Amino acid sequence: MTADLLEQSVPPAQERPEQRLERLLTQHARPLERVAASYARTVAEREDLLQDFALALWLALPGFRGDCSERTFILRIAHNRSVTFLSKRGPKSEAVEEYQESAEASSGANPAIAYERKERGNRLLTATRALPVPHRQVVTLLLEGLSHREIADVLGVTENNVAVRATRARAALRVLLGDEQQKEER
Amino acid sequence: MEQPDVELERWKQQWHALGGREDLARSLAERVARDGQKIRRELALEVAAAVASTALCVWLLVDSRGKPVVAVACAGVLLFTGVWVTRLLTLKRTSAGAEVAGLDAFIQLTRQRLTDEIKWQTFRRRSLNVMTVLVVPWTVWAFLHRYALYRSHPWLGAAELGLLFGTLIALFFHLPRKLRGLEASLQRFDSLVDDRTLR
Repeated sequence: MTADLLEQSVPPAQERPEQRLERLLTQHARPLERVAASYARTVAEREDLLQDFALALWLALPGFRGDCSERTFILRIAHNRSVTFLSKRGPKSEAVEEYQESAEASSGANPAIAYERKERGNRLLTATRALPVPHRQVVTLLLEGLSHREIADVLGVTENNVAVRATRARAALRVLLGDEQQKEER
Repeated sequence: MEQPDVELERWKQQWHALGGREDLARSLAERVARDGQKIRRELALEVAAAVASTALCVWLLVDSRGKPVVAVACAGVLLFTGVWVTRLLTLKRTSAGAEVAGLDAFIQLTRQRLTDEIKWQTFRRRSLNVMTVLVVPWTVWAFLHRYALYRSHPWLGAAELGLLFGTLIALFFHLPRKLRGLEASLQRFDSLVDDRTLR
């Protein structure tokens, strides 16, 4: 929530549209890349989807009146475009191998920890992709750090609905990840 | 005091370790600028085609001094152009409004767009049937009328009639295929978003 308030305190009025677009893409490149990865099967599809996000953002920016944070606005657009993308492509099980090449681990200097985190991230991504779309949307937004209220804003549903979806999605995710934590503890 | 959600925090950490190309924002901004130009060009081309066909119809009407056959043909072309432009503007309006609504509203809009597109393709398919019913007798009449010319210049007859029938046959194959594709898209989309466990 604090991050949202900080975002809104930046006055975007003096920016040219191109500058604003580039700033928003720079600030939110990582979340956008992760949303794209949770819907797109291959690197090429992900690139196309990212381009779709950027184009949709460019078209929608003049209509943005600041009634929500920029992050919420951008994620809403990204998820809307992703639904359209799925309507064209249809649901299928997805391979994650191609994503491993470009995914960058952010775990500091230790390459072993970096590799381990990347592997876990990829497993999580694979599991997320296997969820039904309404559950996938809630989970990816939760993982991005949005509150239930913000997710409700993005998806245009009630907070109660978000809570129900989140509980079910997390239960499914636990099963899909195969109780990884328990294995680690043993 | 509220317990920290350990599981979610662990997942978040793993999730945030994904992604992060340095040049992504700049390359996307460049692609958007390029694609924006392309979209504007395509839109301008469609509007220019509508203006050109209208101008041609007006010129034909003036040149033929309102001959009934020309008048009927021009009325058909102008009607088609009008429907085409209306559809273009309607789609543009729904596309512009779609990004700022909630996701459920967006799903409704996407479904509506696919349904509209199916209706439009059905309209085109029916228009083709009507056009075929009109064109075939007209072609026979034109062939008989210009028989002497075609006899002395067979290539002209082959080119004119070949082009006409070639286009019709191509449309007869293309339109149903496109319609089937759209119907499949709508069905796939509905099955994808209609998760009854959430209702």
